[in-house]
Amino acid sequence: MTFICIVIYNQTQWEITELFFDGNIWAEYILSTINDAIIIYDEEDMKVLVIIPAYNEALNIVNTVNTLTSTCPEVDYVVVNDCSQDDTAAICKKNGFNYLSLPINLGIGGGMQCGYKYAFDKGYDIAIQFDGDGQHNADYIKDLIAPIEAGEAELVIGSRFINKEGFQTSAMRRLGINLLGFTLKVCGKVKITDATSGFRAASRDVIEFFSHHYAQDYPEPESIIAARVSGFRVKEVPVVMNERTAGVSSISSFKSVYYMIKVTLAIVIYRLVGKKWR
Amino acid sequence: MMTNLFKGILLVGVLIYLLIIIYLMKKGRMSLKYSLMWFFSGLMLLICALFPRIIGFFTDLLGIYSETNGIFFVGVCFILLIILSLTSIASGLSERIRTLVQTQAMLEKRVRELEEKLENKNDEI
Repeated sequence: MTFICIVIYNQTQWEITELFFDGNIWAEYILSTINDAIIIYDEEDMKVLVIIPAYNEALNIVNTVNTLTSTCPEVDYVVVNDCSQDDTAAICKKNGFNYLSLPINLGIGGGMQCGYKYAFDKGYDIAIQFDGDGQHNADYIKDLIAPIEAGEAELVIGSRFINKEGFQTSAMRRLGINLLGFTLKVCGKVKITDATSGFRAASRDVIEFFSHHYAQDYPEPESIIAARVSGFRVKEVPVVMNERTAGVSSISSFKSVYYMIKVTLAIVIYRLVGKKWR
Repeated sequence: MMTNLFKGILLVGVLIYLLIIIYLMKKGRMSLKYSLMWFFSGLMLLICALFPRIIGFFTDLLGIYSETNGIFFVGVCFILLIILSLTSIASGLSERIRTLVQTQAMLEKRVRELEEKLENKNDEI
């Protein structure tokens, strides 16, 4: 965000006006209309919050947070402990982490939504979803932020399939992800290679939208179509993901067929009944 | 044609059913908002049991063979409607619980941080 302070000499006294702009169009307009003004530019950084959803991540969470804070010391983070059965909450407290602790298990959707609500309340400009299991690499956070700062998109997905580097998951899952990508392409007119990626960045408007409406069961693909139907631009950037170091994935192989049917239906239904937000 | 036996069973059954509803409402175990649809369905069945002519008229109109079938048909329709509304009620409730839980979590964080701040201040003094 560009911060401009305009000081105007008004015949008898100096008047100070503070103005905030997203782009430079207005700044140029103001410059052209005011003659005797001193204009000070100050490029202020966007406030970034990394939301780390954690359910039974006692083995990974310390590592994840420490790697994140050492790689990106300029961003804030919040761990959302979704009523874990293990001692995730105790570990967060002991290490002095910034964390939210849900009293009831809401699932990944409810937990992430809580993170978005927190981000909205605290006035963050960008919120990044960053899984607590060590799958995501903090080095790529700046790549996710870049399109939002440049005003190219409101929701940025980190995809491991663009450059096909790092952990690529099983062939069956890739087939499922391709099918979801096809559904999203038809319904949302957007090219998504990694629909289930939980590594994503959201702009201030999307944060507000998600804090009100967020898909609950398997929210990653559904939130993409929700953002598209609501009129936001979605972009993918290449990232490299690691294989999870410990713990189990939230989607087991038995449920995956059911998952595919359910998510595909959810996307189609959202396309049919979803409304543009605002 | 409805036999007198079935008419009797239906009448007694519906009366017991209505009594249970009234009992639950009286005890405050069922809120008025949700009891109305149950009550209404009971009343419809009562009317059908008391005046089989009415149901006879509709069964003829809809091409249903017997009045008994008509009664079952009306009952099933009501049950479907009620189940549907229950699903919608359950969805609304889970939405509310979710919002409550999320707000509680954020408040808990605020209280925790305030307490820590207070503790630190006390330690300084």
